[in-house]
Amino acid sequence: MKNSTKNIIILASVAVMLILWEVAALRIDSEQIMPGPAATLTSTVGLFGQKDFVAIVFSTILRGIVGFLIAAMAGVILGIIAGINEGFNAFMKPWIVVMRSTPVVAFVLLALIWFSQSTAVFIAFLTMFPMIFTNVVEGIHNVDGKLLKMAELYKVKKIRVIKWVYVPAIAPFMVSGISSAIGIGWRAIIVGEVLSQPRYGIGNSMQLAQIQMNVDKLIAWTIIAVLLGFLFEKIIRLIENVTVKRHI
Amino acid sequence: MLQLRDIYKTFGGSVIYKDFSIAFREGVTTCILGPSGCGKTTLLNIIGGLLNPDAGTLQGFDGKRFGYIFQEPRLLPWKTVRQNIEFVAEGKGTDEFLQLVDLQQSADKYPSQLSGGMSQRVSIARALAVKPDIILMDEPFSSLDSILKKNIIDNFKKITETEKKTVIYVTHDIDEAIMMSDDIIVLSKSPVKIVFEEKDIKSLKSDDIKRKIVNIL
Ligand SMILES: Nc1ncnc2c1ncn2[C@@H]1O[C@H](COP(=O)(O)OP(=O)(O)OP(=O)(O)O)[C@@H](O)[C@H]1O
Ligand SMILES: [Mg+2]
Repeated sequence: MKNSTKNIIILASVAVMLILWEVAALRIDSEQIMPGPAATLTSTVGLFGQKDFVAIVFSTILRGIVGFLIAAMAGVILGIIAGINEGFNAFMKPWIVVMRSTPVVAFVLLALIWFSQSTAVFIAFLTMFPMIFTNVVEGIHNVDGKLLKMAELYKVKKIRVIKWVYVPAIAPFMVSGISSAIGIGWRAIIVGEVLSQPRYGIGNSMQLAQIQMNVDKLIAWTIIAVLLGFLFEKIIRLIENVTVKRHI
Repeated sequence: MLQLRDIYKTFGGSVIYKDFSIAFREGVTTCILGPSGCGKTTLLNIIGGLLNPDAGTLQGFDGKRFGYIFQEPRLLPWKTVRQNIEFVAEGKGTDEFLQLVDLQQSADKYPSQLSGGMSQRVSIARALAVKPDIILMDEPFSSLDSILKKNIIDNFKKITETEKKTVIYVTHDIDEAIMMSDDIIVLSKSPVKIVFEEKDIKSLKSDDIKRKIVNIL
């Protein structure tokens, strides 16, 4: 299918979404419970003017970045070790299973007791680390042993083998791990903020709006969160296109 | 003389080599023929040091530089043809070898853009580019059409004969073996035995050699 056709379909889909929303708002007929798209857009724009807006958004992003950096560092380093050493991989398995299958909210509730302030960072780590780790391990297992044998025969220097064979083989896995980790981690951070109530955060701004029955504001914050998530996704794709050339 | 002595090699339960010894003359091309699955690739891997025998010794291989044309091309998919050669032969001049296999037009292509035969030719250029003392070849010309095959074999022979390279060459094709080699060794199924060996076949009638080998196989 042509790209222009696809774009038209996407736009049409968004239009249907907005129409359904408008129809629902008209039927419910209460700005309080279900504000329409127009009213929501007004409050979304209004948020930018709110005096703490920048502080709120940046606090959440900062938590995300800190959590992500810790998760990425641990995920890549431990992932490489586990990818090379089967014993260590077996050791890590139960930890990863526990992290992946425990509901986020359970971690949040525990973290509230243990950490209080840095709960969101902790949550970001717990959701992102296993994804990055798993993908790095998979990437390493995916390195073609026959290429390594070829390099061994030709006595290619280790450092060159890492740069020319390992890194390009692992990179696509790493990027896909990081990209799904950020998607999940970003949502988890906001849940963490709702419960841990830091001074600034998108999560607690949402909850405040909910307590005050400001549904339009609640949706407006949601839109901000979605837009930021979308932006991160785009940035990752951009980095991927620049660093990981696909010729396979 | 390059020698393997009393080689023992098993995979899982099955014994591939048992008390196996073989010798190769240096500076000539030796062809190894044998039924599929008998252990020819395994033998090349042992010679190249990519596989350790369970027992036995290798003599004469120390300090030798290898080139290996594997049964599959084994190219880095994310690098161009030229980069694939540079990967193993840093700063040794790749163009000369690309020309040899008639691939100078494709130097900047990626392996995914090459046909099977073209990939195999890159693998041949790569093996020559490292200026090897010993070249191991595992059915290197199997995916080339006959005209191209003849050209490349001619170019290849020119290099190996003038530079006195030791070539150990595995093939299924008796005619190819007779055309390529100075010495011929025919192997049997596992545990592998040498069932036929002839040195310096160039001095003999190729029809006679062929008849002998066909009778054995
Ligand atoms: N890594 C391995 N693990 C287990 N068995 C193996 C391995 N490599 C080879 N074998 C077995 O050893 C035997 C010899 O294999 P090899 O690849 O050396 O045969 P070959 O003579 O090169 O065959 P072909 O002509 O089909 O390429 C086969 O039976 C094969 O199944
Ligand atoms: Mg083989």
